[in-house]
Amino acid sequence: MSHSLLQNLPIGRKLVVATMLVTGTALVLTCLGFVLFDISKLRQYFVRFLQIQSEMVASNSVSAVLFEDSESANATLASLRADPQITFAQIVRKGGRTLATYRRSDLAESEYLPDLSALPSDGFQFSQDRFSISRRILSEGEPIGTLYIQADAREMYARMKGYGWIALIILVTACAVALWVSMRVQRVVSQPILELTEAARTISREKNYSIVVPADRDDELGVLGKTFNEMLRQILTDMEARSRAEEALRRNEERLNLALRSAGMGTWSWEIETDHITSDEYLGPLYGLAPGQFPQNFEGFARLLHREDRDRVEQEVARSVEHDVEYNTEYAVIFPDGRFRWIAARGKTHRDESNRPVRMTGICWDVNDRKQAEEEIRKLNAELEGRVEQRTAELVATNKELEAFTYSVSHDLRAPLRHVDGFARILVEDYGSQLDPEARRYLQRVQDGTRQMGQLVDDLLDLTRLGRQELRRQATGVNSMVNEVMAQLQQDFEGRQIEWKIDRLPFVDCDPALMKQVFSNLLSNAVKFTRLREKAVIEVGTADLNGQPVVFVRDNGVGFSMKYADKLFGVFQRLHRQEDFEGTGVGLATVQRIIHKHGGKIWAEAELDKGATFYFTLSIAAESQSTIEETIGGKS
Amino acid sequence: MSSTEVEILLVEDNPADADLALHALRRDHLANTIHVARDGEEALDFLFCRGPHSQRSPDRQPRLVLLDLKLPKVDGMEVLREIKNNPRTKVIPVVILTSSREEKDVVNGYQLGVNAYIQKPVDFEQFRESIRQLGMFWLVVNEPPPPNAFQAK
Repeated sequence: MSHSLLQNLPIGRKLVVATMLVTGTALVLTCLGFVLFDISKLRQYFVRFLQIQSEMVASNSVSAVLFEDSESANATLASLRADPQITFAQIVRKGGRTLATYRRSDLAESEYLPDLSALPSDGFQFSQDRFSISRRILSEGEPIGTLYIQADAREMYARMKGYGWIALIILVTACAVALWVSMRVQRVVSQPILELTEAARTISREKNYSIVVPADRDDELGVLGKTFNEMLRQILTDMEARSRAEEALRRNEERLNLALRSAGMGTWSWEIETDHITSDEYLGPLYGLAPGQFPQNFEGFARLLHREDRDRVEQEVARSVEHDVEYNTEYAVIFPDGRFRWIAARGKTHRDESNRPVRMTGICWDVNDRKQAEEEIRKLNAELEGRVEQRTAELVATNKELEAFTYSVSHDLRAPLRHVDGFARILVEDYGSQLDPEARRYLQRVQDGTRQMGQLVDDLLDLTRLGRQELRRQATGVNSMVNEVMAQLQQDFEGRQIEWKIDRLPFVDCDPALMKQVFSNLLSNAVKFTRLREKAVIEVGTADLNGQPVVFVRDNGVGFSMKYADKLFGVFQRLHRQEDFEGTGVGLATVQRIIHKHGGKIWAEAELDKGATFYFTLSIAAESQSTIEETIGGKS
Repeated sequence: MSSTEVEILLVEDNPADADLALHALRRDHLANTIHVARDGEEALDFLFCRGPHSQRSPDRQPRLVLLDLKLPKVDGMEVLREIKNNPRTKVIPVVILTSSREEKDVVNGYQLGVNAYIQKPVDFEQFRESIRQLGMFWLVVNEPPPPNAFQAK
């Protein structure tokens, strides 16, 4: 109890109490010891004194007792008068008869009648204010009587009281001094603590952390003060940081709100355990409800959804809650007026430390316009697909028509030609003798015409057939193709002097039949246009054009002017007169189409009367890459 | 007509072509009796002895059918199909003689069992040569199927 009392005292009081308790106890104990020691000494002295007196009186009174000399005995006792403390003395003979009695003169006879019988022989006794002593009077070792002396103890007690008073004064003075000193000391110790306490109180009351307590001391209190100031400084720093963070947070929140508002978004939060939905004022209107009227539980929310979407949305919510996947969905919402709109929702499940789902938070926004646009696009796409299908069908039909057309061209156009040619010939052969030379010449013209037209039809058919023909690519040796073509052309240049310069040519990745046609056209052109040369030189080789291998066919024929080069590959385009060099104007168009079909390029370089060179690119078959590089390298 | 053996059945709708073919065949004296059918239906009537040809004996079939593809009523491919589908006629050698160079016609023709496919050359000289060669081969070199080959089994 006193412990707790002490605990609640202010620290200054505590220090004083402690000091006083220690000082007081020491002083009290010291004084007490001193007084008790003195009292004991005094008593000893007093007893000793009376014993000596009684010893003296007893030995002086032996003869008086022996002889029962009362007078002498009284005289002996009367010597006691010198000591005013002795109030009464008596000598009693063995057997109980009183021999002499002394009484201090100021005392009445009735006073001091000590009960001498209570005294032990050779003993003493203190009573209230007296001291009694008895002594046997001995004669040759035999007791012959007893001496009683009684002294007044009051003086002794008075002295004792004097000691007590002195001790008390000392005690009180010492305590006062101790109190004064301790109070001074406690101020030194407790003042800073009190200041700290006051500062702490002020801080807690006014929330003012900029207070500084004095701490210009080097002792523990100084350290305490400095630490306190440092703590305050840190708190101030922390608080500033926190307030900055709060400010930033507030701004972020404002920005977020602004963003949500401008995006027309509403936010929600669903406590999973209690099935309670809280939402902001913007969520309701998204669902056709008044602000703040959004349902507060899942069931209420689900009822707002289009019947067909409910199960799916519930499943997606469950998936997010159970498997921690993002909740991200779209659904149709039925408005109270029966309209429905598309809403997109996105959310996240929050979990506690034990990974238990606690709540879902998220946002919703209206995606009706987008959905409608998507629907529109879907419709348009379907329409477009339909149109594409229709076009494709039309194309297929057109292709079929084209096929039918080329078929009839090949069949119907050719037949009359043969008739014209056939009957012209029968006329010449069977009736030639009846015709004049001019008629025969005209018939010859008819036959030439039919032959040329036949060639034209064939070439055109080749060209149109190319369009729909699939490439059947395979690695093909150009040299072997050139050789085959040369063999076929043999009859066209029989009897002529032609120098063939055929390089080592690569293997190319191509459709062999079509590529052969390329070489056939180019080489027969070369043969044809060198017809006027005494010695024709026809070259087939490879060259390197900016790292790309090209094949070329060169002749030293009549060539052509480069200003007509752009007409070279056009259908029916001819750079020579029919009577100079026959031709349909389809061959190079066909060549170009074949090269293009292979993904290559073709071009020509020529000079009038000097010859022509046709270059074209081809994809080299992988295994012959090294061959052509070697060839090109060798040439350069 | 039914008494004489028809050596060649020429199925050709174009009279000019027919004339030219006949001219060529006769010039080299390869065939004396040539029957010209002007459309597919007539060709089938002839071969299966129907309609105007019901008097004809199915045992005496031509040694060669020269068949054009583009024909009125029943086209050449259909005629070919009927000939080759019928056990009585499928042994008759059929040569397609056409101006078509279409690959699909060649393929179809062979798949239906044609014995030869000749594209009519535009040049009359070549045409005449082709006719001469095929007449020589089918009427002179080639051993024709015996009469009992025409009987249905």
